[in-house]
Amino acid sequence: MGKFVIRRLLMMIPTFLGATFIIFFLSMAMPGDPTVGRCGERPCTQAYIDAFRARYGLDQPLIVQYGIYLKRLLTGDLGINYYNNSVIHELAIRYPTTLKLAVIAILCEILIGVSAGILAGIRRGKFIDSLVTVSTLVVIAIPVFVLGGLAQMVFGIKLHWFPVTAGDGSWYQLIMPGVVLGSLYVAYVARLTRTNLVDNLRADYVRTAYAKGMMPMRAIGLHAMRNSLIPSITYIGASIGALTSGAIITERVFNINGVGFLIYRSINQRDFTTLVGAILVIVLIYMFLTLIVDVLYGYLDPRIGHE
Amino acid sequence: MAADDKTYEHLLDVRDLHVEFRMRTGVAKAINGVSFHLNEKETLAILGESGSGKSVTAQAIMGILDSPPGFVTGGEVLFQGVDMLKMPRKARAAMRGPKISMIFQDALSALNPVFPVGWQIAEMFRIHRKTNSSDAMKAAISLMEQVHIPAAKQRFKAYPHQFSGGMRQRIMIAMAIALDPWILIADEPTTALDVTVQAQIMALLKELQDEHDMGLILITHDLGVVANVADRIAVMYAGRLVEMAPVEEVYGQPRHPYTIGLLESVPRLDTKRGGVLPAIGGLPPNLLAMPGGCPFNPRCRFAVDRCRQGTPPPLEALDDGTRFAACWRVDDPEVADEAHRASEGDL
Amino acid sequence: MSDELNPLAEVVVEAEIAAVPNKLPRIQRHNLLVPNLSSAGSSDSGVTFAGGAQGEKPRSLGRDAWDDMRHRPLFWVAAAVALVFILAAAFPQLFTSQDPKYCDLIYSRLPPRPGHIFGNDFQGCDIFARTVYGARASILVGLCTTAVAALIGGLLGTLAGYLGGPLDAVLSRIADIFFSIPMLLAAMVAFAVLPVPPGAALPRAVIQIVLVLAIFGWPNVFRLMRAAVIQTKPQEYVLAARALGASPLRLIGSHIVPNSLTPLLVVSTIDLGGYIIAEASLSFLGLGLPSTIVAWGRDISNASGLGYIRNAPFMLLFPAAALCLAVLAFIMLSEVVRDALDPKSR
Repeated sequence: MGKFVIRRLLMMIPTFLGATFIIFFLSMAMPGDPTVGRCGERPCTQAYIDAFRARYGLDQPLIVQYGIYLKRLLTGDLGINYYNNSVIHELAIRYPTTLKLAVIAILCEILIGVSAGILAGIRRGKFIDSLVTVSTLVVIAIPVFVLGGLAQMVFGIKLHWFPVTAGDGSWYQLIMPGVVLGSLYVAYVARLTRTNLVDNLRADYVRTAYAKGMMPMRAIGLHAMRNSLIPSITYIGASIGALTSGAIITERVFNINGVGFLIYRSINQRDFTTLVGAILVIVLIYMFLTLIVDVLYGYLDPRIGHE
Repeated sequence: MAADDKTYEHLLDVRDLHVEFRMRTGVAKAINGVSFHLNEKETLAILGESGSGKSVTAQAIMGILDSPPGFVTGGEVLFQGVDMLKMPRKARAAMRGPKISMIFQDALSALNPVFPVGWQIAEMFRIHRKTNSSDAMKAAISLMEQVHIPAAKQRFKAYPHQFSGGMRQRIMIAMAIALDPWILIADEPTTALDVTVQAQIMALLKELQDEHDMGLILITHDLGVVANVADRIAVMYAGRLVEMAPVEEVYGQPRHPYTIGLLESVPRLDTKRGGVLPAIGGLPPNLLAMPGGCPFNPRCRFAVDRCRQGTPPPLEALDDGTRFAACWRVDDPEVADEAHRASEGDL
Repeated sequence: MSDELNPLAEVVVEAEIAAVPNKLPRIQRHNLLVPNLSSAGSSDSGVTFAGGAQGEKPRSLGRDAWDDMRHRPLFWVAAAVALVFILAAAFPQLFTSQDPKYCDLIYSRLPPRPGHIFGNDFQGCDIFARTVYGARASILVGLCTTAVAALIGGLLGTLAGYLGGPLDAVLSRIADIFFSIPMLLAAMVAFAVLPVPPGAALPRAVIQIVLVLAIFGWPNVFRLMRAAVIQTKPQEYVLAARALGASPLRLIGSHIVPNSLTPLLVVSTIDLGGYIIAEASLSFLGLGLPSTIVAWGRDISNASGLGYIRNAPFMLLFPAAALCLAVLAFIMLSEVVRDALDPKSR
């Protein structure tokens, strides 16, 4: 197991370097001058621009800049953005909000997704099954920003159940955005759970459980379920990584000052230090979650060995 | 239950069993009036090709048919004189394990992949006898030793995929005999195994049968396996029993043309080199569209008009009453002649 | 949304690859029509029955799947809806005589009424016409991105799976890199770097979007094809063909690729919906297609202001409904195709 983790960690290094380089390269190539608008109404003087570029290392060749960036990264420093704020700090004040969103989304995946999948799987071919199968397809087909608009329209404006936007990021304000953010993954989790449960209910070992004299409660609830839920659990784990990037749109629709909002803003403001830092953290989270999920899989399913 | 105060004739008595599968494409009558019995400590082999309904029969007896689509639509399954089909679900489930149990062809898929094998054996004691986990573990280990699994104690926590095919089948067997059942149904227990392992498993089954005084229903399509262990043979075709008799008599003087065909198709030591092994032509009938008359008539070389017109009555007792066959021409000398030729030579 | 985490696709990979090379259970099913009866499959253990041969002509997987699909109403409904959208994309004039770019502020935000059955948007443009004309960008992006991603991913995946070794290692790492960057995020940055010039014609804009989405979408297909080829390669019929001296190209062309095509088809259809959503998301964020091109995402974005949602919800509802319906049609198609190809689901 230890060996497996170490090998996977080593394999992550080139992936991480490649991903950061792509992001770094893309961001640096962004047109537009970060000094625009820094000197009031007038264009900045050449001296100011030169000083600015020297200060942020923009006068160096790209690959050198990347090297310097990586070196600083090793010390846990994501740099200072053009507005003189530490990127780490910018992220740190926004991650709690985005994490809250993710927590709500994951709770939905577990509570709604898994139970809908189980219900549909057990009552296969019945009304509830068709309902789950069709409604999840519909949810998958609705983009987050449409779903967000609809939720605002119905639950915010018509019914007044939830605030239409979530400015200060309290749990209550984040419920609706969190559900919207999680909806796609709720649908996937439900379908995944259903498919696996249906497969496992027909499995030979479930018949064995009946042949051993077990009642359906135990044959399904323990024997089939244990096998069926392994992919769902690991999928939910993996979805956390995707949630952070999905938050860009959700946070924009609901006007939430989270990491997604920060990314969106830094693109518009050509603030590439912040942008690279934010994306880098997302990629890192995503990669570590993938690793954790793989390890978890090995624990949950004895057939998958990590030697 | 002592043997002397028994109020029943046979340990297991299956009477006129009917099973059908209701599917989108139609209703398949998988079992059509199957009747047989099993005595204590007896071994009955049910022989038939894929789709003849032998596994479905076993599952119907156990009460573990996939339902839907499978439904028992008629008949009785008497265990020690009590009809199991009329039992409430819970009482029926309680019979599986202590009274009657079953092992399957593919032990790898029949064992739950995510639980240790020892745990799966111990589960029998924990569910049926409410044994605490440490006692159940001890019992499971002793069972694993009984089925000759080396280093049983160490392998208690191993998972099914860590065992070889033969060892997995031994674990299935350990699980099945855990509660000392009266009847063990073995559904193609050796089909998925290597020939040498097949023999070991059959020997183990025989050994355990003697030790535990079990009745054994051996379901197989392998005539070679049957010859050595069975007391009686029941031959199934298209959801019907076509012949049933003590093993020597089936091999010595088959009475049903299907059985004759089966015996002819067995390669023998004295078969002429380069000679063609006769096979039964054609295919088993489509259960959704059974041929009129005797279900075997399209493939039967003895078929006459009568066979195409009416279904022969199920299993008539012949001669001394120990053997049965369902064929219009069962007393025909032409058939008997062929039967005699078919049974010559050693298996 | 990008669908780098699409379990529909995962399930397909396993089910299809398991099902495709081994056609035996399928044939048995046709003979017996009772799945539970076919438990005894092996017939290589010495003495067995002679009569169990497979007689019925084995039918091809595609043929079989088609027979199955034909009888599903869902297939026809989804296909009809998809066809309507493709028609609207190709010949919008068939559906409306109005010009989507003819806007008169007099009509600003007027609700649906005869002659303007979807109403008018903020600028007074006819929403029905804009919804019809908006199909073109979405459908084009969806179809082209799917094709390009399938081409890149399919080609590289087949190579990596077939040749293995260092090439496989390198390609797999590259795929990992692109896979680890969320597609939408990458596309956002890419369009910030190189925005589609304002006023660009539709083909120019679509090509750029397609390339960007495909560059971050191909690893999906790559992984699938690689896995499929690796699974197919050691199959006995492939070994047999190789033993008979078939050249690698011929092996790939006539044995490995045909067997991997079904999962590719299914995953591509699922991804198609994802790409349409990704394009719409970009337009929603004000990136991607320039505002001069009629597109659902931008119309939805323009209608999403809270004031509009409150007072003129129809501005949001109609283009949003069109977008969802189009995606739904393709997802349902993929669903039906997958079900039809998967023997386990019947």
